[in-house]
Amino acid sequence: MNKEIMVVDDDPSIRSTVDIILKTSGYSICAVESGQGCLDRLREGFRGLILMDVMMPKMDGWDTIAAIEDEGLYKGNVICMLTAVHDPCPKLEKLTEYVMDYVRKPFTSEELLEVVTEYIEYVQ
Amino acid sequence: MKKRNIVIIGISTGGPKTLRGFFDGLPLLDASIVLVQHMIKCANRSLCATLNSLTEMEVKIASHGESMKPGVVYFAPSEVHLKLINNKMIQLVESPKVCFVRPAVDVTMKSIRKTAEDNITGVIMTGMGMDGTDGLSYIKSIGGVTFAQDEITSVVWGMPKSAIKTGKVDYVLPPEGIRKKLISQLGRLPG
Amino acid sequence: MKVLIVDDNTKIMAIAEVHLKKEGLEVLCVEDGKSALESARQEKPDLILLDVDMPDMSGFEVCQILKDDAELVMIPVVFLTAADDNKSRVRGLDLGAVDYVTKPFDSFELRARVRAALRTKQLQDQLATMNLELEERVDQRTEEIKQLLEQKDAFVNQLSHDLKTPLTPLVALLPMVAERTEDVESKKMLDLIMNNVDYMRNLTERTLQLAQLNSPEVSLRVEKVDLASEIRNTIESLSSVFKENGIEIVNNTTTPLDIEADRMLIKELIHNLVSNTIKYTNGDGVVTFESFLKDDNVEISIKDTGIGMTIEQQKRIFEEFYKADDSRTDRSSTGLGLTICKRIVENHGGSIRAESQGSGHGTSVHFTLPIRQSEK
Repeated sequence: MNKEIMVVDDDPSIRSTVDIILKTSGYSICAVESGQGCLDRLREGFRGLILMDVMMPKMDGWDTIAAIEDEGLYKGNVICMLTAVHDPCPKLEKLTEYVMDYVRKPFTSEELLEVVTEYIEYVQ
Repeated sequence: MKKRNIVIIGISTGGPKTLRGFFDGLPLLDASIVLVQHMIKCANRSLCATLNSLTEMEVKIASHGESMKPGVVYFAPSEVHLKLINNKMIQLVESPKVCFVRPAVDVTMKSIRKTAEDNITGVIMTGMGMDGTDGLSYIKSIGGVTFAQDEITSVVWGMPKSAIKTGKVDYVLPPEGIRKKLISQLGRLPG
Repeated sequence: MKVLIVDDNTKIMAIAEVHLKKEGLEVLCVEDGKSALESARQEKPDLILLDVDMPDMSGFEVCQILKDDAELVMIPVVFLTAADDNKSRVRGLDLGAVDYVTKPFDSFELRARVRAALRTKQLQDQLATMNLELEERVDQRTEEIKQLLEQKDAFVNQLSHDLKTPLTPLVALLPMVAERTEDVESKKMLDLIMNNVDYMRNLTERTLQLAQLNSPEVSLRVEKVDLASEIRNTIESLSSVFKENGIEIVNNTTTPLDIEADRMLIKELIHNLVSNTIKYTNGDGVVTFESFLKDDNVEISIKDTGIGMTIEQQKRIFEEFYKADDSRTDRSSTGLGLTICKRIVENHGGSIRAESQGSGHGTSVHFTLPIRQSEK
């Protein structure tokens, strides 16, 4: 099965960076620029690993995960945070079961690939 | 009679990657290990399979009514709490979340009873929040040994920090250090 | 202005009153020491004309009480004394009086002395007001500077933080580009770029760390830390680097050296200091570690035989972003390492200093940390 990866980030250069690194390693990837975009893709039936930015306008990463949980859209998907914030905010505490890992920017391509190869395994 | 060793490990954000390193090449320990990882249910099976392939111990998803044996790692399945009856029999309980999570480390650790024939060890590793803080204090209060992961190696130093703050943690170490200490304290099973 | 006359001799008092009123002064009269003190407290006169010889309470006693009272001490006292009583005049002046007038007095002399005393009092009052204003302005400025410093910290914090996102494509993609590049010249250029990107990354991280150490909200996570074993671990982890650089280690610290401290920060402190000894020793040197227990403190000395420092460098070495001239373009140094060390030590209530016998004569860094942290 070809498992997909979704990167959720409002910054286009981060989306492109992740896209380039993962495509180079043979993954198929889709990039969305907002929490809303992420929810839309999940409703359309996306299954895979979600790399989620924290600080985004309108709906931040945590709000997005809370909405994913509310709608039961997490089933079969795995979420990792991709963020410039060093310490997770207390909002995460309620969502800790839905977040597998926490990658801090700036990351190297090796760090990103390590996380992706580890957690793509858990996608059902 | 020889003492039974029981180890309870609680871990959350950053757990799967950390556990991979922790279990890689872990010898067959003379202990029953209960592993509580906060995660979504659909990933239980593959994490278990991965860990099982890395260590000489058997890693399996814990099932209700099962009696713990030495040399086995019992993985607490998602969406239920795991309690131990008489420090031996596994009970899976569908009660509400504790510390926002289910299974909660606190629930498992606090189900342990103080007995003369059991050596209890509690370990809290990387993760957000404060699940395991009360549990680890409790284990210390009934004469158990307590570990917490250090800041530098923790992906998120929330649960270990919260536990350390109580002053009831015996050792603050990187995963490698916790592992070495466990191997020397628990000993190996023959075979 | 207001003058208080104190005399049990009502006749003398009446004469004095007339003359002083001619000076355009408001005049209050009382006949004994007790009433004088009451009146002084209530009316706050600008001058007290005080008779020495009074029943019940003498003028000296009254003066003594006035001068011991913080609210009354600034009121000038002029004594009225007998003409032949030299001793009393001296004693009065010693007690803090500004002048004396001998009885029976010459009206012009009395008026002149009162005028003089009042002029001095006026100048004194002006000075006091100006002082007060000045203090207020200093307080205001200090507050402004404090706010500016806080703004600076917040700005630097935000900036370093915001840099992390644009740094990501650089950090992640440049090595991939380098890997695909065959051209030797291009590879060289990319190496140069990557070095600088690493430097930028390092700078942002260091700056954020410093901003955190400066922030009053971030407190120490205190636990028991064995300084000696932290030093040993750092030396061990860097042992291959020491060997490569031909540096010999002499560790004379005694063990254990348990103190209450934030373990992560102590690790950082020791690592920074030890790395510096390597960076600033050009091969075949010796680095010596010593420890001393002094009362409730532990002092650690790290001495190297490296390039040393000039007096100017010793003065500025702990400043933010300061780099010794010859390392100004050194991309491996951010100029923040020792500033961070200083902050760490000071946040623990300790102190740090660096000494050198001059350029080429090695450097010693000494830091002192209290064994116990006071509860906050």
